[in-house]
Amino acid sequence: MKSKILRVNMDELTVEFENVPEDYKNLGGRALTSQIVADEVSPKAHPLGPNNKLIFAPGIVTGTNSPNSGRISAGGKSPLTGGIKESNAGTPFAKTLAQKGIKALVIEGEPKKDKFYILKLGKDGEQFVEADDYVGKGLYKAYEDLHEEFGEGIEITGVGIAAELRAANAGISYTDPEGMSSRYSGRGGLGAVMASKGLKFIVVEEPEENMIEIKDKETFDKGRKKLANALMEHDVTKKDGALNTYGTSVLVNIINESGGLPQRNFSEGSDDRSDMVSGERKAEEIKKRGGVRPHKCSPSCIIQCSEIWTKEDGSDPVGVLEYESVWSLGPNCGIYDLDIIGELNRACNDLGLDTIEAGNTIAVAMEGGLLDFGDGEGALKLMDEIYNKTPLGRILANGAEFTGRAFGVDRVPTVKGQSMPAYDPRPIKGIGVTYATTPMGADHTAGYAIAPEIMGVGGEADPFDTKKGELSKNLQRATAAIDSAGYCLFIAFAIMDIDEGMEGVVDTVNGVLGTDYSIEDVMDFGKEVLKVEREFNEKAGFSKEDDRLPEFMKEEKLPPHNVVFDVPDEEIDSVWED
Amino acid sequence: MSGKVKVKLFAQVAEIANGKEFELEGVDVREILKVLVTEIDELEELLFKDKDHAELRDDKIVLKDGRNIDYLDGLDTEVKDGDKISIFPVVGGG
Repeated sequence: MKSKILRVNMDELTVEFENVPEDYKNLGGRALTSQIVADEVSPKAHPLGPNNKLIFAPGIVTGTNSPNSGRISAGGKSPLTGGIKESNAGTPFAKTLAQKGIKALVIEGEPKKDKFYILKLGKDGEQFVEADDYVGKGLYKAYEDLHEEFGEGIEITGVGIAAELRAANAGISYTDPEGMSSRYSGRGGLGAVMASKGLKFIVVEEPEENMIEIKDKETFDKGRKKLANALMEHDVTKKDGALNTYGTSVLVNIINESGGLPQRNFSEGSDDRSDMVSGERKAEEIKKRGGVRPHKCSPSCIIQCSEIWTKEDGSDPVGVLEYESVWSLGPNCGIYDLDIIGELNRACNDLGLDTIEAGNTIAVAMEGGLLDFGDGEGALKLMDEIYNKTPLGRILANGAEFTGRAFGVDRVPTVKGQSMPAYDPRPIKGIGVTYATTPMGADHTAGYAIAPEIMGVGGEADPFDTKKGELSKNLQRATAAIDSAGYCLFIAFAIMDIDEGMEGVVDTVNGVLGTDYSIEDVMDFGKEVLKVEREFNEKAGFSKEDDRLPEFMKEEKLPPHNVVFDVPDEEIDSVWED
Repeated sequence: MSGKVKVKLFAQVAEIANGKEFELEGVDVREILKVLVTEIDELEELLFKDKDHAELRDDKIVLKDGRNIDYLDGLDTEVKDGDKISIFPVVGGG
């Protein structure tokens, strides 16, 4: 195997290439970050202390020409949840790192001096550069300056002002194809872990030689064609399909109409004004403004759900406004104005904040009386508090649960300290089982029950039915496998319905690794990843009592369906049965 | 007993109808959709598998008051005054 593990020691500012241990040979992405965290990080370590580590790992197929393979996983012990974390992103950085022959980057230790550094992984070797000039700078400008300092042909990952505060909602940013800071391993505060290591940016130069080895090219090529065919055939992922035409925000209307789009801090499940921030409206605006839609977040993507949102006159591109971000910074705060949402999203990308957590934090602050629901200008001013590193800004940068405590709020939509995405689990119960049980804290991507419950994709399940343990379990296993392969999770829409697509995934993985995994092995692979993650959390002090939704969701009925979350605890716990 | 219901269309379905909202009368969802397709011909093939209006196409989602009709009585789901029908193509995201 040509690929290596690159160990970065921030105590000594040294790097070392290591051969990939036999046990890690067939791992990638999430499976690899979680395994290294489990093997090398004490579950009792302080997330911001010298004993935590930050791992980056491209997926198994990342960097190849298989479709939608441009994913990278970041992993460590989360400052937000106190448990294991894997947060993945689609970015050209993933491909470049993989083609450079880096199977995983392990960042450990912390520098003796209170300083920030840039790690450059160049054609001529590795070097540390002081990052003093970048401290306190927004990430859009920082990425422009880094391109100037290090030249073109680079990809960047980095952390912003929120991470300088070592705040629990600091995400890790990556370059998009335009070189902007708009792609994120947002969730779980791993940006603060990177900052605690004294590492501000990693700059990777395009390698002269592509180091990716494909063991069985024929199987690989057969597989990538099958997967591409499935993606171009399925209604959700095909060209001119829903994702390609409207982006992920196409969900705003259907989730709102289903009564599950949380409004004003999870106090209602729909509002007619949500249409003003829908994917349909946004696509129309982007066309009018001269933005870009469709767009790809990374080079191999053929779904192209991304876009470039701009100001009204077409200036100042933000990058994509995802469904989750539009919701969290919009309807969840009583804000129904795409321009305000766009500016809030810009501030998150610039400060290095996860948008889901940031929107929930603002909504909780609104609930706590700091400002009124619907006050968009006020919400933007809260972002200034973080820019200015004020005490209030420090509270807000630590997320919804921390802010809820600071303002005495009892309706705080979190599980294991991480706030919920854009689906209220009271009328859509399967996603609630995923929020409750995933080792990640409330996370929709971990087992996306919305597909069968709302879209009728990958099977059909009544969203009101409380028997959802089996559904969530199977989705979580399949997802852990996809996150490890290095594929975008959106391929799941197609491969759950079209067998050829699933075969394509397995063929491409086998092609790269020279293995002979079967489709049945996919679920076992995912199960093993979850087991490693859950064991870490147990050793960190979590029990099944932590696999529960917040109390208010079992007591407050959510309009318009006026239902509570009533999945019995035994059903939730069945996710962990064989 | 028939009812007057609001019909809302979304995404590509709305684009084809060149509009989003209708108020239509019928006894059940099937009848409402039949009235809808007489108003907009292009929708007939888009919504129904056949000319008899026996079955909805698999790639469409129809909600009555926020509940997928698959989990109610399908096309036979009865409607009353003030109900809302929402029609979507299969969408995805997240």
